Amino acid sequence: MRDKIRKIIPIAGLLILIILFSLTTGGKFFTWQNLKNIVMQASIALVAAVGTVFVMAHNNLDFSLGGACALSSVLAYLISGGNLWLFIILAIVFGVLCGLFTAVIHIYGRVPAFMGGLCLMFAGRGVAQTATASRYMMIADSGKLNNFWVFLAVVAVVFGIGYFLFNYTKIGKYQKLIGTNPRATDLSGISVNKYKTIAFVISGITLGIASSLALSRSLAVTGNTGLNLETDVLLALSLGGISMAGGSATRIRSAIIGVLTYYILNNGMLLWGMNPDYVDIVKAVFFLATVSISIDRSEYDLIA
Amino acid sequence: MKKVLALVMAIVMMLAFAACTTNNTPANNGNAGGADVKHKIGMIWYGNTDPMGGTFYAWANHAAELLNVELVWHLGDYTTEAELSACEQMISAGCEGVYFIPMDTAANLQLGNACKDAGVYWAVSNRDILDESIKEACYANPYMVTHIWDDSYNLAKNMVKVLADQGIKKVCMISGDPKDAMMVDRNNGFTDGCKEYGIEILGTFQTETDAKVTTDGVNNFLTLYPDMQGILSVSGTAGTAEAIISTLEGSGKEAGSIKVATFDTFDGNKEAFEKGWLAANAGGYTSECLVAFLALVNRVQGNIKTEGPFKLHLTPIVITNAEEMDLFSKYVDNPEVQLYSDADIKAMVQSTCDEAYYQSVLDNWTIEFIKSAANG
Repeated sequence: MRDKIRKIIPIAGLLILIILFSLTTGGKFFTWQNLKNIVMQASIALVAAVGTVFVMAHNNLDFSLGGACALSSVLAYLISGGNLWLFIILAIVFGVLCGLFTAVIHIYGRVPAFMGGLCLMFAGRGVAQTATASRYMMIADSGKLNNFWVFLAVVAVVFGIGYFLFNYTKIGKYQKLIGTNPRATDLSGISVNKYKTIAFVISGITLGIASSLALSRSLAVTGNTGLNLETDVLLALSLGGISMAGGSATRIRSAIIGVLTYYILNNGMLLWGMNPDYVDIVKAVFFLATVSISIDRSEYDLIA
Repeated sequence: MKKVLALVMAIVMMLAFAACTTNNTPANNGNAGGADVKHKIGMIWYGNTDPMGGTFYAWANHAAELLNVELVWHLGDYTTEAELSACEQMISAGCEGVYFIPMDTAANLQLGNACKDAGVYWAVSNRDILDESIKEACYANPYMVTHIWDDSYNLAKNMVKVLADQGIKKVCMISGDPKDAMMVDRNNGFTDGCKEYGIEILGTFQTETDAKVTTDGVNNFLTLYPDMQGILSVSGTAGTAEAIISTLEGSGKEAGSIKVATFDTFDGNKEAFEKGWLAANAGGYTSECLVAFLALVNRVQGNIKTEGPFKLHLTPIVITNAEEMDLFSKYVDNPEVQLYSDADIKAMVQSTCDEAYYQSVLDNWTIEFIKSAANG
C-alpha cells in the first residue's frame, strides 16, 4: 500500500496543482494562451530530461547539461556562421560529443559520471563566456521556431521516441538492468560500457535539440545559454518521482510529470500574484513534501 | 486506484473545457478608463536585495499603491529565455503592461513581440539596444512605451578623470560583458578615458558579478602589478565592490594607496571614502527605472497616446566624497525612503507628460536634487 502511495504521489501532485490553480486563478490558468505558455516554457527542460532519464536509469547523474548546452550552442554557431538549420544539426552533433566526453571520462577514467559532467559544466560555461565575450551570436531567423506547434511537435517526437526506446528496446531495458545490478548484467554477456555510452549519446542528442529550442526562445547564444538547465532537469525529475538509484523502478514518465509539475508550480504562483519573497519558500516546501513522500527509501534502510 | 485517477482526470478535463470557453485576454480587460480602474502591471526585476534592487522595489510598490495599480513581480531572471517566460506568464495573468531591464539586446525583440501579439504595453530602461535592426523593430512596435538608457560612456570617462586628477598613472581594469550594451559603453568609456588622461591600463579581467571571482582577480592584480595605483570597475553589484575594497584592505597596503573607481553603490562605500580607498562611485539608476515604470502606468491608464516610444537617457551621478556618499546612502540607496514625493509621482502620470517632460525629470537627477529632496 505504501509503495502504491509512493508511486501515485507525483501524478497526484501534478493533478492537485492543476485543480488548485484552475480553481484559484479566476480562470487565468486554463486559458489557451497560458497552456501554450506552459508547454513552450517546459519544452526545453522536458526534451533534455528525456535523455537524462536514460543516464539516470543506469544509476548515473549528468551534471553537464547547462555547460554542455552553452558549449554545443557556441561551437554550433561558430561553425554554422549563423545558418539556422546547420546550427540545429551541429548543436546535436556537439551535444553527442559532449555526451561521449562524459561517457569516456566515466568508463575509461573509472570515475563517477557526475564528476565528468561537472568538468564539462564548468569548461563549457567558461568556453561559452569567453567566446561570446568577443562577439554577439544572434540568429534572428531562429525566432520563427518560437512557435507553440513547433515546440509541441518536437516534444511529442522526442518523448515518443524516448518512450519507445526506453520501454520496448534493449537500449532502455538494459539501462534499467545495469542500474539494478551492473555486475549481474555484465556476467550475463551484456556490454555494460556500450549501453552506458549509448545512454550518454541519447542524452547528447536531446541536449542538442534542447539547445536549438533555447536558441529560438532567446534568439542569441550567450554566456548564460542553458543557465541552470541541469538543476531544473534534476529537480523536475525528482518531482516526477524518478528513482535516484536507477534500475527497474525508473520510469520515463517521470520526465513529463516532473517537468510539468515544476513549470505549472512556477506559472500558478505568478498567476496568483504571490509576493516574490515567498515564491522560493513555497517551491522548496512543495518539493520537500513531494519528494519526501515519493522517494524510494529502500536503499537508505541501512542508514543508522 | 485507476478509477480514482480516471475521475480526477475527468474533473480536470471538465475544468479545462469550462475555462477554455471563457475569453480572458488582457485586451478584454479594458485598457482605458483612467485611474479608477485597477490596472495590472508586470514587473520583471533582477532582485530586491541590493541597494538599487531593493530601492526600486520599494519605490514601485509605493507608487503602485498611490496610483491604484496592481503589480505582479517576477524576480531573479538573468537570461532572455527566463525573461520571456516571465513576460508570457504576466500576460496570462492579465497584466496590461510589462516593465523589464533587458538582459541582452535580443530580449527587447522577444519580449516586445510577445507583448505586441497580446496587445500589452511594455517599457524598458537601463540598457541601450546594440543591434540597429532590433532597435528599428522595437521602435516600430506600437506597444513600446519607453526606451531609457544611461550615458555610461561619458560617466566612465568622468570617473577616469577623477583618478587622473589625483595623480594616478597606472591602473587595472575590471571590464564588462562586451555584448551587453551598457557594459560596452562602460568598457569604452574607461579605455578611452585612460587614453585621454594618459593613464596606462596594466591588466584586465572580465567581471562575472561574483564576489569570489572578483577577490581572486584583485589578488592577481596585486601580485602581478605591484606598481598598480588604481582599479577601475564596470560593476559593483552582488558584493563585487565590497570584495574589491576588502581585498585591498587585507593586502597589507597602506590605506588609500590604491584608488578605486567603480560603478554601482555598495555597502560600506562611505567608510571606503573615509579610508581613502574609494575615489569615485557612480550610482543612481533607480530614477530611470521609476520614470520608465510611471510612463508605462500613464500609457496603460490611457492618459497618454504617442506614435512611438519615449527615447530618453540618464546621466547617473558620480560621487567623490564621504559626505555626498552618506547623503546618497540615506536618501537614494534606502528602500525606507521615498525620495520622490507623492506629488512628484502623480505629476509623472498625467496626460500632459511627454518625452520632453520625462527627459527633464531625468536631467534633474543630480546630487543637488537629492539634497533638496532630502531637505523636504
